[in-house]
Amino acid sequence: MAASIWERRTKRGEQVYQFNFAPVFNALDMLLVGVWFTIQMSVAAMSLGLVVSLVGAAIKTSGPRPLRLCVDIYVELIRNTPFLVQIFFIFFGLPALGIRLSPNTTALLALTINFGAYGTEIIRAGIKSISKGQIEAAQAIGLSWLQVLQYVVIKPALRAVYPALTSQFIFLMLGSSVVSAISATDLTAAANDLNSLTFASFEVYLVTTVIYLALSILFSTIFAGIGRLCFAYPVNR
Amino acid sequence: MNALSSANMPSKPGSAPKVQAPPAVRLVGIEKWYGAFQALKSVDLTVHSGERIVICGPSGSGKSTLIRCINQLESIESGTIEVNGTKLSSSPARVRENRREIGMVFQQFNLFPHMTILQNCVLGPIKVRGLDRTEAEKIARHYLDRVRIPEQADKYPAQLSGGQQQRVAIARALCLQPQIMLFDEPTSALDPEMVSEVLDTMIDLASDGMTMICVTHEMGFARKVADRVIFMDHGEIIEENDPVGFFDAPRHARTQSFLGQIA
Repeated sequence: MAASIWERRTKRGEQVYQFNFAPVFNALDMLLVGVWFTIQMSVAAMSLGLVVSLVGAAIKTSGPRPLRLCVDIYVELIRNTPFLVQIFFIFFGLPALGIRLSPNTTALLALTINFGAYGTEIIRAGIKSISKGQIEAAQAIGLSWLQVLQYVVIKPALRAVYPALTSQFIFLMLGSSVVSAISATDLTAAANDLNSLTFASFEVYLVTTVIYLALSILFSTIFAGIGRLCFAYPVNR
Repeated sequence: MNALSSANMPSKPGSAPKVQAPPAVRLVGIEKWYGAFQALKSVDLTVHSGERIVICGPSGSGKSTLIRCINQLESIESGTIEVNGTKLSSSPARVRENRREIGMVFQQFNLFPHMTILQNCVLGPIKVRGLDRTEAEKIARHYLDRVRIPEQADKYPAQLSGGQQQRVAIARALCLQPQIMLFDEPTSALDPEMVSEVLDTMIDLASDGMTMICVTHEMGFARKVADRVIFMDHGEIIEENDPVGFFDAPRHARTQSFLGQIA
């Protein structure tokens, strides 16, 4: 089987590679299963990670000191260690404490925790960009701390950092390929499986690359649409 | 200042409302420090219900800080503040309760840019007063009408002129139906041609008997509307008088030189 795929011809001492996409396209459903999982996992991690980020940023900007310290430790710990090691820690390390998670659950958890740390810093910057006058005006109306954040601060803050936030979302989606290392069933894992079945490494990873590129463009387009929908109000600055 | 001449004032300076217990605001021995800088030095001030007070003074004299203490945007190091006879407390719930009774208008308008004019106005009534949307919108439209911009209700703040934005800010504060209104240099950030529309709105409000404490340099407004003018410098109240006495016969040398500079 391998011989039919790997056709090598020796021509004037050079090895010439014969492209053959047929086995990749024949097994495209395998990749599509991975694509679907990557999309689902990314969207879930983005949503959960956004919640973590909002809470983290709220605490970092106006929470009580002990909680702020906890968030600081979390953010620095995650941002200063490799993502792969974080995954391994959850997947291989936590069972020692009796916490055993499936590869896919581990993947989602690791992506959420990882995004949360970066997102906290991004949204914190957004909150910091809101003028003191806005917050005072909201307080003067009689809103509570949480209401000030919820109704007055969050939306303009997210608008201010929306480009940074969306590129972090794209990083998350692309970075999710790392979870293939613990045999989660994402696109890269599917590509690895297909590669070991067909040995058409070039074709498999080229197609995979194109799929990731398409996913990035898709997500970017969706985020741009969401941005236009949510942050359409005019500002004069 | 034709804006001012058209005002129909119910009471002239000198016929300020007689003392009714309790006063709207009572400040006793207020001290405020920013690090090593003392912003307020043992300030005493009593404002009666329905009274219109204008506070003026050079920048850095503590006049904004003083009115910000009343709705607790600033904390104080010592002294007591009573609003409607209730001593202010620093517990978050009590602070919110106090702010609900006090409307504040800022120099920079501070409308929420992501909300329409109407949404700006109903936020407080819905979230703080607990009104339902229909009722809150009714109140909001009433006050937008009052500040003469009902047709802008569905626009965003950035689509309005400075004067219009400040009038919306006044309407937004009124929507909570406060007992006291604080104005912190409400016309200082406006283009000159927009000052009178905001002052007109404030005069209109004053003629309704609202308790008002205004930090402003609009001396025409002070002369017309104020029951009392207070001059502050270096964190102290230097002079306090009715407008006629204040402008025509200032007692203190610093008041005289200040009035000389702004005239």
